[in-house]
Amino acid sequence: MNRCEWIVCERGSTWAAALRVAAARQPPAAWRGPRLYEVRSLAELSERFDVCPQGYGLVEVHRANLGPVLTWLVDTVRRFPRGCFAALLDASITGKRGPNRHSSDDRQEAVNSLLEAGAVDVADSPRHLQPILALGQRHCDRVAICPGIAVPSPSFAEWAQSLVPWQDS
Amino acid sequence: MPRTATSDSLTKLLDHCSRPVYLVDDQRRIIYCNPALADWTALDRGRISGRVVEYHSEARHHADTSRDSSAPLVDLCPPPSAFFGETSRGTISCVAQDGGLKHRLADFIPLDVAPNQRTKGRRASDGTAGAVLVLLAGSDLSPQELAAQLTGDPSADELHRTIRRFRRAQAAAYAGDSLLGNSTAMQKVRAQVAAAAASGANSLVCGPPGSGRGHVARAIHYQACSDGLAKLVPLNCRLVNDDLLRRALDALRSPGGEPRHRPTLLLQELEYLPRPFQTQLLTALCQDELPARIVATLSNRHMARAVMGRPAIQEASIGTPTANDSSDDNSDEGKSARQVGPAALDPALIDVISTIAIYVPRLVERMEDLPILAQCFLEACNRGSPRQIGSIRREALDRLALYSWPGELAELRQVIAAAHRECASHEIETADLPAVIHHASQAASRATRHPERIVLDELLAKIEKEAIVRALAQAGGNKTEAAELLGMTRPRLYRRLVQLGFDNERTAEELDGPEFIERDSEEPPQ
Repeated sequence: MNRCEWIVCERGSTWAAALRVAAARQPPAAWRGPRLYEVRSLAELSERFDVCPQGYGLVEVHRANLGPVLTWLVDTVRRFPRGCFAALLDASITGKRGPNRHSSDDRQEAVNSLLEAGAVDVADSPRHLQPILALGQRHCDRVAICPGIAVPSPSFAEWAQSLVPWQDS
Repeated sequence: MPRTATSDSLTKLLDHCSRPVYLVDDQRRIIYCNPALADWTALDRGRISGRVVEYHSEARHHADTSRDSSAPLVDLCPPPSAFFGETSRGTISCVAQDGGLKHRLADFIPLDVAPNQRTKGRRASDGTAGAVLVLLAGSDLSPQELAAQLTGDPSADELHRTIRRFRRAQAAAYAGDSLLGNSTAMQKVRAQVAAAAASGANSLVCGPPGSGRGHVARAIHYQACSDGLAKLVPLNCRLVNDDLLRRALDALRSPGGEPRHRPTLLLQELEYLPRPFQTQLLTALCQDELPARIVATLSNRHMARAVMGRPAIQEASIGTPTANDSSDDNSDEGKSARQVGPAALDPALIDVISTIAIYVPRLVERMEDLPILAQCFLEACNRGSPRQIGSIRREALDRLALYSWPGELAELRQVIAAAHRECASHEIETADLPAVIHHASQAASRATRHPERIVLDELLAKIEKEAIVRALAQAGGNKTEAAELLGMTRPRLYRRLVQLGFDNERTAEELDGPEFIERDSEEPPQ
């Protein structure tokens, strides 16, 4: 399977619902509507990427899972170089929940580290998903245009060459 | 009298305490530490006392073990809230002798704050507030306990420490010795990376896709952090837009510490950066004096040659897809990048960025590194897997060496992962390797044979059949898309399926339903 899938990893369905709504509001011509999968854990997300290594992974990040997400991103970006990943910052990090005077610093630090780990972009509100949608569309366009780039698949030229008995060296 | 005696007694008491204890004044200077802390950190007490502690998450170089008595200590800093009179609990970390991190729970107890001055979030007006006593637990946190800490609802302090742990891990992962290989080419790369890191110069990392250019680029950044703190801002030039570029530049402009702590802008696959953004970036670099080091990766080897002072390549030849570039250049973006391509990259931008040009060699140019690289990837597969495989048999390595590795290290990683999945013993054998490796081996083994006869029609039919199967798989079974991929009409694809001996019923069922037969029968054979 080489098509681009959008895979949302979150605890609930907040982000996925917001993405569907935001996508539905896109002009039909602009939205080519890749299928949106929902998973509930990073392990499931990895499994989904095994099936669709060129997918677009959207990972919800909250205070409790920031460390695991950072580690997962570093490993997964390396494992699936044709994939694309964005982070969805939960309010517990963006500081919109509870009085935390360091929240803006926390948020910026979290954003910086997520970008450093391999996220291409970070969204901090389900109400502002336009950049994330645009990024996903560009990624899917790229994947659709240059198919067959999964690295380990046998090279056709190599295979055809192996059939030809005479070779120069 | 009683005061001195009490003070001495208290000091003795703390000195004999088995739990690490230290005291930080309001200037964030360690004014006391007991021997247990010295033991835990493996630093002399004299080197700890008087040191300033800082509260930040920026990565330092792995080799910076804070033995420098003038350097600030990062890991021992209490959270800022403690200096404002808030008692809190968190973790304190230090580098273990094996280079990893060890962690302990710690209580941060503010001292010298009169009750009437203990206003939350506000420092006492007479300046006496702020000294913090830190009392560490008697034993290190186990990995399970540490994980449990992280999966709870961590405080702001824990978040901060999580980020710090991540950055430390990154710094370790991209240390100089992470650039594996003893080949001459890799020795040169390591030397260039060290030079780029030490000089702070902009760097251009060139090489084929999958060769580890990104790793080299990050290694420059993380090695440069050894004497300070710096931010890494990656920018994927394939996906960049106005918003991403603006935010990246803003992040680099934002005050992030002292001037010597230059952040790094990592431009991934620079050749895909659209021309208007090149101009924008150049303006930011030259006119706005962006206080950042630029490290860029380029996927075109010809460009690397041009940059390194070799004869410039004609635009046409640059546009010719090679085995290495084929995956990238088949796209419209690839085509536009070819049109813009290396030749259309702004020479002024290249001049600014390519102060140091590093060429990352192809894997086939450093086959002596293959065993260590394969072993490294194998051990990475072992991580977290119930299947633990120790090594790769010599015969299998020989077989790997026959392959041309168009996908470079990325392909090697995936081949080893596939072999890891197939392997049933403690050692990867030749049979565990994917088919593509065997095909290459067969091709190589036939190289010296005497000419054989073939039936060209059969051979071409076999190739055509394989191409159709792959196109159908590529199109997810959609024959219209498959026909487009193959550059033929849909009816013709149907006919070829029949002529090449596909099982009609199975094909119809698997691919598109019963219409396959019906529609095909409507078309007159050519």
